[in-house]
Amino acid sequence: MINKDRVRTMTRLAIYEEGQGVADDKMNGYFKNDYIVGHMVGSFVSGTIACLLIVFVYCCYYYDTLMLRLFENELGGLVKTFLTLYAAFMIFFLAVSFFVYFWRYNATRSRIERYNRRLNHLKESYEKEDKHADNRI
Amino acid sequence: MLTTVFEIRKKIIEAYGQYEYIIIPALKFCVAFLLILEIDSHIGFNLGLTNTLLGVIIALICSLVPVNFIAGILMVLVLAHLYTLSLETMIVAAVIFLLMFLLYFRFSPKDTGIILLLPLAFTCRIEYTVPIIAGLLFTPGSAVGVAFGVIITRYLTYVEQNKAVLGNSEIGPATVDNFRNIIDALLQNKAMWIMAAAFAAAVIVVYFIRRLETAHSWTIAIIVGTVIELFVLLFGDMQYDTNIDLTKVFMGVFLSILVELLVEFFCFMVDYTRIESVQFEDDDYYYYVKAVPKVTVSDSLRTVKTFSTSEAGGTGFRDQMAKRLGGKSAESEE
Repeated sequence: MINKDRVRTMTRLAIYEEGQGVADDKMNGYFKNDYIVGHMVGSFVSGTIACLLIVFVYCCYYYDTLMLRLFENELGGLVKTFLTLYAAFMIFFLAVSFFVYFWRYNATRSRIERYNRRLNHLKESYEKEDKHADNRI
Repeated sequence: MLTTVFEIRKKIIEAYGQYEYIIIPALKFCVAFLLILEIDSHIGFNLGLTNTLLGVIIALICSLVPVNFIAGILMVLVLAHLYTLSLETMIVAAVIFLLMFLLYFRFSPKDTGIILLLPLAFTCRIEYTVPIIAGLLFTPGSAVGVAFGVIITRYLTYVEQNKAVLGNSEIGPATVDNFRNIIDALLQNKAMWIMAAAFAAAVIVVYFIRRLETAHSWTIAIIVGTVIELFVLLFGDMQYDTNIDLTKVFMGVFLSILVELLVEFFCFMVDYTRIESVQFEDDDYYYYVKAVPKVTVSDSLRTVKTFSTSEAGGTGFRDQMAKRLGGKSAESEE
């Protein structure tokens, strides 16, 4: 006779393995700190490129003024302002990145723990069945 | 009546589960093809790319790739059309797309679908439904995606409306002026910023309300989200004189509510009259659990049709069955 509980557990395990489990398995290969730091490095690069894009748009927009300032050697103040804004933006962006990846890692860990619990449940179910079979013999 | 509706719902969900492998690529194809048609009709400046056969081929490719790739392919198509019009319009669009990918999709790559659906929703005049559905089905982070979607759609509308002016520039000093005009138009488009703010606020509010433990949280979230959208839009209109068409807004909101209720019907149908509260404990915790059962319907009972001799024109039931089985009469069987 089909063990419905076992089929249900196996179906849930299969759904997880084929869906979210693939991404979770990759994340599971990292230690928490390595995972978060790795992604924060990526965020740093993304944030820096985004800032450069904004600077590019700013330079195109104020092309004439910037040229005048360049000839008069008055770009120092502007560069300082840019660097301050860049630092402020990066602090904010990296803080957001930290919280996002911290939360994501914890969520993944809890999903993997749930998966392991289900596997144990399945294993226990098979062991119980084996015991029953042994007792009958 | 209600049972029939629930039975239809169940059948649709079952059919979706059974034919998911066909339905999802077909949906991707339809969305991609409709978007390509939209792009071609509004900003189809490169006539070589507006070929319908090419559109079908691109949509077919889109049906086989993940949603993020579809967004990438369509963005390249948009950039190609804008480049044909003028370099400045393409640069501004490329900057917006890149900022979106670098700052937002890095964290939430699954929300690309919102950006794809928003232009279609604008065409069908049900744009107000997108933030509500994003709040119901995704995370509050989708607020950023929805806001980017509004910016992109409005920017492309601006390009379409001003194509005569934008397409007249040549490379040189005029390029910088044109670039400056585009940026000014984008930054000073108050209607766009108000709509982006209204949609972003709606996503966040809907998300937090639908997660509440109160009964009918999804319906409340839909209503409150819609009110928030209307409030921000009307407040913005009064404050900044954005000249929004109130009739269109209310019609759009009405249509959107219908779509949202349909989404609720398929994604979150629970029976609040049968809530069960249970309390138990294990070694470590006490549990206070409130369980809300999903609405389920059992398969309808089979109807048995009886044949009477009078209905069958004087012949017996066994004769009829024999005829159906290949012309053998009941007598010959005996």
